[in-house]
This record gives sequence, structure tokens and C-alpha cells, in this order.
Amino acid sequence: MDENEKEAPAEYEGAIERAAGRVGRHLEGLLREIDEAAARFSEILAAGQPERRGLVEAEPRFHGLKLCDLLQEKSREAWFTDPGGAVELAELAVAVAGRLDIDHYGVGLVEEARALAWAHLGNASRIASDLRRAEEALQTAESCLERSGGDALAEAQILSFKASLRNSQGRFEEAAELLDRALAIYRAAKDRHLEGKTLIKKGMTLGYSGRFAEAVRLLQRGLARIDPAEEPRLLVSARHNLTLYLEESGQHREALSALEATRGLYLELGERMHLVRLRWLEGKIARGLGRLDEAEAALREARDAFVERGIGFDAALVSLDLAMVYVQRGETAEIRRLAAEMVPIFESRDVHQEALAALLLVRRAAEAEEFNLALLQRVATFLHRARHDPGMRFEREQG
Amino acid sequence: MCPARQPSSCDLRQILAEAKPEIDRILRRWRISEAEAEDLITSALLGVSFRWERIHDHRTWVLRAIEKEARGRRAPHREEPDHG
Repeated sequence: MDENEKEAPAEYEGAIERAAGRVGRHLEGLLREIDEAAARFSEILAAGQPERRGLVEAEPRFHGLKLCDLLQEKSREAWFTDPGGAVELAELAVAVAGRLDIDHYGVGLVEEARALAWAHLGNASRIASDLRRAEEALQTAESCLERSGGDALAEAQILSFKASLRNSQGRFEEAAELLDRALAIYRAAKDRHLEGKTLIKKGMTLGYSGRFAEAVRLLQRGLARIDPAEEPRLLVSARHNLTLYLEESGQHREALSALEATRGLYLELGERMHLVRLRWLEGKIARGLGRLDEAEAALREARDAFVERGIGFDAALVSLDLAMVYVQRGETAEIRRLAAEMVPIFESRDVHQEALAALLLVRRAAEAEEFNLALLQRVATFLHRARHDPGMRFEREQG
Repeated sequence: MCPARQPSSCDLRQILAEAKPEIDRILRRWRISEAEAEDLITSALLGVSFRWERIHDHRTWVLRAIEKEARGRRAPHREEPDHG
């Protein structure tokens, strides 16, 4: 035994007891702060949008850690319904985090709050299609995290957001590596739900890059770990992608079984766009199983819904699935009509130039009656990849 | 079910009761004095309280926080702890 070890007590009963007492006295303050955060949030919402930022910056009553947490939570809730609102709420979280009192909370908690607020701004910016701002915000988040001492769970959250950004940039390998790092953290923290969620995210990353068999395995592992009650939307999204990747890898019967097992969830969640995507998937599976009339009806319905909402990329992809049905039936007039309809619709939508060029190629091929499944598959694969990779170019010369 | 937004004193005492043998082992391994131990455990408990909703396994988080802080306090003097 060395000199120092003699100083260490055999038990720390007294220290543990005194620490519990000290923290107990802080809990009342924490509870008060949580209650106040809800009231302050209502106050922020009641102010006009242009005044909110100034109000939060100027008034010390808004400079609370729990309000910062709440603003991040509200930003997350707005991701799917109001991307612009999600950005604004994350900006307010950043403003609050920048004004937290280090003497009150300690440097570790304050820098961690700043890291997470910037990370939320990064993710909200990505969802709102501002990838440059997302990159900058996530870099700031990483710097703050380093200064905080680096809580592992905060690090995993930032890694996960960064992986989403890499997916949006078409950098799938990097995204998968980042998710592996997040996975290791969630495993060590024994957080089965977040481990499952991250496995699902990695599965989708592999799916984006066309590695469907691996994607299916990861999605199945992830689904076995998540708590469905915690995030019903995640459950539907994971099961939807599992079904899609089974279909894309040619397992039509398995895809049909997976879809039937999920149908109730789509209806339960009741979101219009989920139901449109369900119809799309039904059409794809029906085509795979050779039920072409059923496929045509479902795909037409899905395509019309996407066109109606101006969702150009998905409308283009469904149109290609529909064109494949006509090719299988040998209906050349239908193909020509569909191809002619596609281009004007997409010229005015969110389809980028290269995708439009690919669709023009489809139209020219249809006019010249040089249309086949291989061409359609090639264009469909390109569009799937191009959605996640803005810099991708369509290879016109390939056969 | 949503996790509670903050712990009660009872939640924290339960974590301490369950984790006591491991806490003792960590503190002893890094030769932490009684006074330092009190600060270190307080800091870990405050940390878990503020992050309560975000943490799934609170006991594991507290143990890792204590270990990290104990290692940080001893790192300038000695790289490796005593095992045993």
C-alpha cells in the first residue's frame, strides 16, 4: 500500500449522505425553474415573432437552463410540421444558452447547453434545406461540447445530427461512421431505445446508398430495441423503410407481410403523407408481385397526391414506377403520354436540373419507343441518390 | 410513458443506495479524500438532475460521472489507478 492510499477511506458513507443532503436542497430550485420555463415559453409565444429574439436576449428572466431545454424540445416537435418554426425555436435556444449564468450552473452544464442548442439549430437548418448553416452550427456545437468536458450523451446527440447532415450531403460512408460512434455511446449508457433508433438511422443510411440487404438487417435490429410508445412516428418510419428495402431487394412476399403488419400503424397515426407513402409502397409491391392493375391504381393515386402538394421528387419517382407497369404491359401509348406529362410538371417543382435532365431522357426514349425497364431502373436509382446528393450528375452515356 | 422532468430526493437516494459499493470502489481506486468525495458526488447528482429527462440509465450515468471526475482530479499526478 502506498502513502496516498492510506488517505482514502474504506467507505464514503458520510460523504454520500452529505452530498445527498446538499443536492436535495437544490431540487426545489430545479422544480421551480421547470415550472417557470413553461410560463416563460408561453410568454415568448405571446410576443410577436419579430420581438421574440430581442425579448429573450434582454430579459434575465429568460436566461434559464430549463427554458433552453424546453426551446430545444419544441424545436424538435416542429421538425416535421414547421421547419421554419423549428429553426426559429432553435435560434431562441441558442440565444438563451449564450446568456446562462456560469456562476449559477457551472461551466460544464452551460457549455453543454450551448452545444446542444447549436446542434438543434444545425439540425433544424438541415431540415429547412440550409446545409451551409447546418454545417457551421454543428461545428460550433462541437467546440462548445469540447469546452463542456464532453458529456457522452450530448456527444452522441451531436454525432447523430451530424450523420443526418452527411446523409443530406450524400456522404453516406461518413454518416455510417458517425452513427457507429453514437451507437457505442448509447450501448455504454445502456439506453436501448436510443441504440435502436441509431440502428434504424444507420439502416436508412445504408438504404440511401442502395445497400438494401444490410439496411434490412439493421432496421430489424433497431425495431427490436426501440420503445414504440416513446416515438410512434419513428416506428412507422422504420417499418415503412424496412418494407421498402425488402421490396427493393426483390423480397416481394416478405415486403407484403411487413406492409400488412404495419398498415394499422399508418392508419393509427393518420398523417396524410404517411398514407400517401403507404399507397406508393402498395403499388410497388403489387407491381413486384405482378398484380399490375392493382399497382397502377395505387401508383396513380400516390402520384396525384404528390403532384397536388408540389412534392416533385416523389412525384417523379412514383411516375417512374407507374411507367414500369406500362412497360411490363407493353402499353407504349400510355408510356408516351405519361412521359410527356412528367416534364412540364417537374419543370416548375423542386426537382433539380440533373433530375430534370434524367426525366427528359425518359421522355425522348418514350417518343422514340426505345423504352425499357433497365432505363427506368437507372433513372429511378439516380433520382433516389440525387435526392440525398445535390451535387450528383446523371450519366447520360451509360447504357 | 414520458420520463419525469426531474428526480425527487427519493430517486437520488435510491441511486446512491444501489450504487454505493461501486461508488466506494471508484473513489478508493482513485484515492479520493472524504471532502473531495462529497464535492464529486454532489456534482454528479446535480449533473444527473439537470439532465434527468435525457438519461435513460441514471445510475450508470452517475457512476460514469464520478469516475470521470475522479480520474480528472488524479490525472496530473498519476495516469493509472490502483486496482484491487
